[in-house]
Amino acid sequence: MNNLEKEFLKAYDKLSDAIFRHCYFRVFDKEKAKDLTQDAFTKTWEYIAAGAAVDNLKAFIYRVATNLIIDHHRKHKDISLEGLREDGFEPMSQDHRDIVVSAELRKVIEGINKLDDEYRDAVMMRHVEDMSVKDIAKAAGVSENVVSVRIHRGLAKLKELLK
Amino acid sequence: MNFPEIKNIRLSKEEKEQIKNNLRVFVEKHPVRNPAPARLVWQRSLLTNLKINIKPMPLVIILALVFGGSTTWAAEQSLPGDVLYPVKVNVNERVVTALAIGEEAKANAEVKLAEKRLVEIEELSVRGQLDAEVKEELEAAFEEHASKVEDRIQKFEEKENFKAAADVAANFEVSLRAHEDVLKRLAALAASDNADTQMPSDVAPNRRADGDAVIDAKFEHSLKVADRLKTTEAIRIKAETKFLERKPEGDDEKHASVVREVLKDAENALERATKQYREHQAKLDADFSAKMEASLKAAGEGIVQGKAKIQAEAYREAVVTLNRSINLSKEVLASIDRYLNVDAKVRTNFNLDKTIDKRIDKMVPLR
Repeated sequence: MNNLEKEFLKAYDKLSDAIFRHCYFRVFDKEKAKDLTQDAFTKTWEYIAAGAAVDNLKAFIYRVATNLIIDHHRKHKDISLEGLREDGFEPMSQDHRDIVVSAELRKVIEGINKLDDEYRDAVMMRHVEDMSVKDIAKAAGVSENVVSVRIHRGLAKLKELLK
Repeated sequence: MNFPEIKNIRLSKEEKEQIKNNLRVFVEKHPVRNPAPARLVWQRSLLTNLKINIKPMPLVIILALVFGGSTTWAAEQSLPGDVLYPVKVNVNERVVTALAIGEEAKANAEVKLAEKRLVEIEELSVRGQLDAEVKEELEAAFEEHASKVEDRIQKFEEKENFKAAADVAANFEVSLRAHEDVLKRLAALAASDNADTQMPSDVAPNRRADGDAVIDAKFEHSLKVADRLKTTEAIRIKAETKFLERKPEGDDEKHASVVREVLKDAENALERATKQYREHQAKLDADFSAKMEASLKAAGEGIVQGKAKIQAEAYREAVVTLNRSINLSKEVLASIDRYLNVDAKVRTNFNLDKTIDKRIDKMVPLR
């Protein structure tokens, strides 16, 4: 195994939890989130092996993961999560045992669930993954200004939802 | 809000290990490709013919890959004519656009691509390598990206997302302004080359033996950057106006929380731009200096106005005013950067000195 490959696997160690959470909070299915996490890393490696220059690996993997999530939603239009959310339905897996959380945390998760994607991503990346606004901007492909707005609006909406 | 507790949502150690093992297998099955012989990739017309796919492919040049932080990679710096240029355009840029998520990110990606083509035109110009064919291709590529930017802005307006329309237009405006000066200077050099047959030989190194200038295309371009700049500015102002006109209920409170961040951004941006200007002031010519000072002054005024609007609780307006200030500061930074970059190379490559500059300024005023 050469240096590049070692570096990549080290990056997996550092980033896999954050990427898993990112996926989970979009699909609310632990098994699916696991698959998406693995796919995000393998797809990123495909790009690297093909010769793409990757400047910021973290931002890159986030973007790859988000793309995969969007593909997943498209394929499952019948059981669309957006549709479920609109009906007020809690799209966690039937089991509820896949993620063990306190009742209070569950409320927070439900609130986060109701945010629009871009607000949710911004809030989670900032306050759960402790990413800088700069890094979030790179991951989202928008300016830092826009990221700040999304974080503030997301938090405000979340506070409202959790009242 | 117990965000830290959310961090407990993670894969178990075993699950993590399992995925890692799968990854290891995958990585070993898909090694990074070996360098291919250069002649198999290089072609005359580099921008259109090569169809390199992201999936495993037979002919790819290996690039130096670095994780995290900023470094230069061979392909990103390449220009038409370089072996790695096809990879820059067909691989790197396709990846970037494919991964731009959301309409605003996609629009900003197109702005960046348009700017890359301008940079390439400038870089080739200063090396005296801008031949007619490549120039045409780069100009066409720029126009294509610029059109896409305008289309996307229009879509935002149709959806009445005036903030996004204004933001993207502003980004494009900043880009164009930074390059407008440089391209004007280069065009002036082209005009002076053609106009003055008594240029000393060290200034026109590409003259053929029979005395005819081979340098026509060296600096020339047909880009209508000034026109596009005017249009984009008008679009931005229109979008800002529409944005200000709408005032949904309870909207001002939303902007109140954001506006302090924006004010901080504006102050930081101005500080950086001013510092950069002072540092390099001695190297800038009088005209350009004056332009930069005017922009910095306007940026400062924008901050003062923004603060006043905050006091008056007109938060939406404050955000717009402060964003304008930020963009002015960004323009100064980008313009100085291009100026220094290009100017230094032109002087080195073509042995220009201050007397030549004065001649050029007289013949073709830069304003």
